[in-house]
Amino acid sequence: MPILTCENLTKHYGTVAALQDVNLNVEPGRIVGLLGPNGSGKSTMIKLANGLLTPNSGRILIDGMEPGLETKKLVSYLPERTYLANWMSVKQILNYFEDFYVDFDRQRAETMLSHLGIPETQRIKQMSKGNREKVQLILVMSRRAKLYLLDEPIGGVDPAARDYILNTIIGSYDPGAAVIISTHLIADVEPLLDEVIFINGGHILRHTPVDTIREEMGKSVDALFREEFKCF
Amino acid sequence: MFLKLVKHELHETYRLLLLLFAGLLVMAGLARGSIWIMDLSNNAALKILGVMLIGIFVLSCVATVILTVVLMMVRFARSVHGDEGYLTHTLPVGTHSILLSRLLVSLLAVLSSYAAVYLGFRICTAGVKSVSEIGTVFRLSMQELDIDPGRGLLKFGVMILVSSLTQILQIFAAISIGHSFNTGKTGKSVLFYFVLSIGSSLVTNLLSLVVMGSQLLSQSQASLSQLTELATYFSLGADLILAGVYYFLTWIMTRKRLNLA
Repeated sequence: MPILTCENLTKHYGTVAALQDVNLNVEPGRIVGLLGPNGSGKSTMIKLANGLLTPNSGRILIDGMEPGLETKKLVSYLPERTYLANWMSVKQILNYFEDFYVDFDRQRAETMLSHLGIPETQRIKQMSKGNREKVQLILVMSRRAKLYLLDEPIGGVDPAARDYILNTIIGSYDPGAAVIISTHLIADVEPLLDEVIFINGGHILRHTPVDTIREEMGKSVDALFREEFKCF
Repeated sequence: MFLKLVKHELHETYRLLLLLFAGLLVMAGLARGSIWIMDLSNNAALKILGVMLIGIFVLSCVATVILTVVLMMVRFARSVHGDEGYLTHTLPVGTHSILLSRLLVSLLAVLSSYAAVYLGFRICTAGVKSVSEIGTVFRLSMQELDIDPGRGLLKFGVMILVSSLTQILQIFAAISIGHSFNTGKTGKSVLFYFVLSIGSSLVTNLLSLVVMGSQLLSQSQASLSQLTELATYFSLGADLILAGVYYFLTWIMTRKRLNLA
């Protein structure tokens, strides 16, 4: 059974269509790049999968269920913005996650934090934007979820830390789980990806295995993206 | 899970409220000291300073209640409909648990702000004879109105509790409706607060005219205490119905129309 299914999914913001009749299946065990220009509908789709937005029509299913209490136990979500309270220390945030998520692996989170040199006593308000994003990603990847939804996971992170984070994503997730990564930094994430979804104007333009792009089309994902979304 | 939500919400809310209450109690102590100095000294400058301290204490009492309500509003908007909502709504808890935990902690915050103001008043007026006579006047008034003082206080407490609950839920409902729009969320929250206030006032006033009027007509010999009793129960009933309506509105807007766009 697909871990994520979209059936004629449509979402409007007022008169603007963010997603239009989207049909999609993502199978477990795949790392999928959700790629598209700004305003293409990537974040909207991820928010719909988390139940943070309600579709106007159609439906979105996680492991066969509509977003709700049961699907929240299966999905680990990294939003594009900081959702942690500024006054909290890293240790307090770890306690918070440990309290609510039974699949949270604190040991793993503490190891990753020490690798990145982030002390547990540090408060969020004392951190740079990049470090906040690192902490959020560590929290999200320290869960043993069935579906990871990562919205711009490396957008604000320095290039030196990107490799560590991308390796963390690959090394952390359960092989039976699926990872959906929405990003503009295609060249950085390309080595991780099994499949790509190109999205624009709320429509899915392409859902293809990366090997097909490389072998049959003889291009990298980055090159194909630049070609298909070229600005005139 | 509900208790965990309450625990974290209490921590988040009271880390600021306790500072606020401590400040109020310090002001109450200073005001008490100034009353004591004014009683002992005839120095005009000290008397002016004393009056100013008492004035600042009174303002602090008002500010404590207002700041508690503002803090409660900001907490709800930020944690349910703002950036923190990305975490709140992806926790493995239901919408009712999220809303009820916020409601319980907000109610505690508002009631504890009343308690802090009362405690401040007692500190400020400790040993002041004219103030201690207020209790006697209260008991005599109750006797005059043929009301048992204990029962009267209990009713007063219940009314404060229910009306605070209704007010909090009205604020929650207004914020939830306002945040379902894509733009001008804060402005629309304020607008809907007034829309809900005016709407509920119109309905309850109309109903009270009908209910109280019919009672007056059927019981022309009704005593003042009977009418007071009737008005109290009517007000309680109306507040409870409104609280139910506001909770439903908050729930439906958060569950079905959540808009973290």
